[in-house]
Amino acid sequence: MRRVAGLSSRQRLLFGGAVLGGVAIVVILLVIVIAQTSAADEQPIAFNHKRHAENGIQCQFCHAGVAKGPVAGIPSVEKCMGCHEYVATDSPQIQRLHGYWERQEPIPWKRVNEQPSFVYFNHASHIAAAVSCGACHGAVEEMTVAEPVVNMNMGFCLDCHAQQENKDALWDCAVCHR
Amino acid sequence: MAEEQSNGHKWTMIVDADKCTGCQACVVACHAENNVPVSSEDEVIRGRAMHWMRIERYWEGEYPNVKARFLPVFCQQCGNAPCEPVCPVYASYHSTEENINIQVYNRCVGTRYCGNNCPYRVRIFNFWAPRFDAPLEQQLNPDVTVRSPGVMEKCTFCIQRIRRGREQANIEGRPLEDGEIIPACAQACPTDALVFGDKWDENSRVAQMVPSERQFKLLENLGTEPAVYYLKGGETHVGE
Repeated sequence: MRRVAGLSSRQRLLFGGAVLGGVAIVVILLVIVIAQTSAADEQPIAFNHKRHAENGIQCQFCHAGVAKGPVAGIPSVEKCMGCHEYVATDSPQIQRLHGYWERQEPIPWKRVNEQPSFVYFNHASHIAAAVSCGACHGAVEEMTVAEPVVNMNMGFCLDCHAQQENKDALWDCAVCHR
Repeated sequence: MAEEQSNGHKWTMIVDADKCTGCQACVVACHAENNVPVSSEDEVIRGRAMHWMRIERYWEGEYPNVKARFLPVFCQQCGNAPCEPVCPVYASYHSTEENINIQVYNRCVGTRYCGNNCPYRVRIFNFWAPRFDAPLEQQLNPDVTVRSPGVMEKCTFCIQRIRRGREQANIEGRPLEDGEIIPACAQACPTDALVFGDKWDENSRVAQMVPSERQFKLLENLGTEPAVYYLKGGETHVGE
C-alpha cells in the first residue's frame, strides 16, 4: 500500500478503476453463469403436474407408453391441445403451448430423470410387476415442478430387485446392461 | 458357472455350413444391429478390424474342380468359457439366466486377457473411439450401448433382442414362443443357414436339429462346450 500511497492521484485513480472494473466483470460473469444454470433446469413451459393430478388425470393418460414398452413417453403437442384448445386458454403458459401448436413444433422439454447410456430400463416390465410410479419417481402428483427425488443408481435398482421372488433372474447383469 | 436347466434358457445357434453361400448379409446385419463401427483399410492392415462375426473361407479340391466353402464364425457362447475365469473384474461373465457369455462394457477395464484366452478369436478390443461417419450415426441402435474406447466387445447373440422378447412375453403374461427371438444375423440370412432358439425347449427347432449326425462344434476337443453347432454335408471337410 505504501507504493500505492506514493503514486500520483492520477495513477491512484487508474488503479482504483482497474480494481473496480475487475470486480464488475467477475460479478457480471457470475450473474450470467447462475442465470444459465438455473435456466437449464427450467422447462420451456412451466408444466404443473400437481394441477393436472388434482383434476383427476392419471399418469398413463399422458405417459401412454408406460405399460406397453420400455419408454413411458412424453405426450405430443396434439395431446395437450386435445384439452387446452378450450381449457385455460387465457393462461400465458397455455398461450406458449398454442405457439408451439401453431408453429407445428415439438416442445423441447428438458429431461428430468436420466440414466447412463449403458443402462436399459423397461417401464412396462415394472408396471407388469405392479411397481407404482411413485416407487421411483416420488409423489409427482404433489409436484408443481417435476424433480428427480431418488438417486436412481445401481444400488437403488438392486435393493428392490433383491427383494423379489425371482431375484436370481433379476440379478443378472444382462437385465439392465447390453 | 455350471449351467443348470432349472433356470432360464439355453440359447443356441445352429449354422448349416452347406446352406451358407458366404454372402456376408449376416455380417452387415450384425454391424447395423449392434453399433459395430466399420474399420478403415489401415485398421484392417494393422489387424484391428471390427467384426462381431466373420465368414471364414476354405478352398476345396484341385483346379479346375475347386469349391469354396464358407463358415460363419462368431462368439461360440461357450458353456465352459475360457474368457470368463481370466477377467479380473468379472466383466466377462456367464449369465445364469440366458446361459450365454455376457460382456458388461461398463465393468470392463480393458486388460484384454479374455481376448487372448479365446481360442476362436472372436473378441474385439476398442483401440479407438468408434467413428460413425454421417449419416451412419443416424441409424445407431438405441437398444445397444455404443462402446467406449478401451473395452472389449463381442457377439452377444443379440442380447437386446433376447431381453426385449422375454420382457414382452412377460408383460403379456405368456410363455416365450420358439422363433420369437431371432438375432440380426439369422434374420438376415437369405438361405436360412442360421437357426436360433432355446435348446432346453424340447419343441424348439434348434433342439430338434442338434442331434443331427452332420453336427460338429469348433475346436470341440478343447472342452469349451460351445453353444454354436455347425452342420456339414458329406462332401464338406470344413471343421475337420
